[in-house]
Amino acid sequence: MHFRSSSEIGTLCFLRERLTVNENIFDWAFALSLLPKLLDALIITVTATVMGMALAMLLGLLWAVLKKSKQPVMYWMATTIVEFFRSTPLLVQVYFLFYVLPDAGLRLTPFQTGVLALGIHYSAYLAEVYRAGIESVPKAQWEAAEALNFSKGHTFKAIILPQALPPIIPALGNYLIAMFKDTPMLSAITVLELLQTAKIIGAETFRYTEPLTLVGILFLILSLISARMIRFMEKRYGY
Amino acid sequence: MAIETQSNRIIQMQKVCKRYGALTVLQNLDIDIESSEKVALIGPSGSGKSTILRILMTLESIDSGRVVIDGESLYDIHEDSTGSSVSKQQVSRIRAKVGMVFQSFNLFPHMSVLRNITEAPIHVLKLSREEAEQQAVEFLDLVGLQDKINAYPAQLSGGQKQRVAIARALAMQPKIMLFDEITSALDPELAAEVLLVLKNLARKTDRTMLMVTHQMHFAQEFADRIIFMEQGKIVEQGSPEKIFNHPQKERTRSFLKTVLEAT
Repeated sequence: MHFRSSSEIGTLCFLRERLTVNENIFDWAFALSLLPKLLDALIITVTATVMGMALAMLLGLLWAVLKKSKQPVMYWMATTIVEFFRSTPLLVQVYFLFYVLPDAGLRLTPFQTGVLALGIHYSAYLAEVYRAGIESVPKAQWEAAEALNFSKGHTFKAIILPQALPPIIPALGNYLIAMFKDTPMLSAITVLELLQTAKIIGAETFRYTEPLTLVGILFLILSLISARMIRFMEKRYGY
Repeated sequence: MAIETQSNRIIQMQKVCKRYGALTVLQNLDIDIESSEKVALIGPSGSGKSTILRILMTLESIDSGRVVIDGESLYDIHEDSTGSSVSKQQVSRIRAKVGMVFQSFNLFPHMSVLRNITEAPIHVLKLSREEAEQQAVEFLDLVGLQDKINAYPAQLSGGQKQRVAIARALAMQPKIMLFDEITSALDPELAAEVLLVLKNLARKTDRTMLMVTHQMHFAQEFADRIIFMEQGKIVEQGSPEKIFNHPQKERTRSFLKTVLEAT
């Protein structure tokens, strides 16, 4: 206390000054007033996630099935697609679809483009998840189905897939949450999701603390809820 | 005479060879089985008994030889690996004549007992749900498990699982039933309950039955003919009375001595 250096005293004074100036560093009333707008944006974010995940699960299953195909063309095609989308950044894919699809004659809204990008990108990861699930089903189950004269398609649909899915629920859940946290990428193509809305509020009011904090909190709450739901499903569908 | 016996032969295997890499599992094997005959295959592990069943169930291919099931050619492959291949539809038609019960049951764990039994009749035989379920109840009755109709495989004992597996195979109305060491995964008491079901079944139906077993006493009671195999070849075959009481070959005698002393 007695032998403080002058530089230390300088720092303390500076900190004190900042604290007085920004006494209300977080304005609760202002934050509260932003909530309706941000909750609207949250709906967009959640919708994009749900639709993107549905698309990713469908496409991922398709890649996984094609990769098991005995026809080299099918296998080669699926493998290339999966490798390509897994090895390039999501943001690049988002931009690419946004600027190139209209040139190719396909006009989609930014939201639709975003869902498509999320779905395709994550389908590449989900293909591997499905593969692991399918391989976890004992070979004897295929044989039992063969002995009962089931077609390949029915075997897959009724015997293999229902057993392959429960063990991969946790992995699917992880990717769902990862995709949810990747939705801010869609702000790059003007989708009015959470982050984009917060940035607009910031630009209009010159206050970024409240909107960005709320965005973080909303993401946290939804991620935690999703994780809970996934754990519940794991218990419900495991046998 | 030749034509008559020909028509009664439901399974014909001629000069069948099967190899896994360097390992020869079946060597120029000839087996003929008459319609409604009950045959037990015995022999030390690795003698190719299960492989025969898996070939007849179309789960395994062969390297050369001829296999005819109920008048339909499944394989006809010459030693230089040329020969006729069978279309998918033909395989499916042959498969419909054959049912198999596995050592490890292989029930579908995500389906109830009822659905395990009705799934194939509904989707493959195109029976109506009511028909399939009615029939399933009858087969469950036959194996003594009507009260487990809504249970799931995980809730059943090993013996019960195997009896459901038998009912499931029967529900497809196969002409030929294959039993692959179906009591090997069970303790003696549960094995006995499965064997009892099988004995009743053998008595009640004129289905052709082919079983691989290590239970000599059961083979003796169940079978019309015993085939003793070793290293992919038939050592000796004949009626249970002949094989168990008057074996001709020294190898048969020593095998039976070892096996019967152990039990």
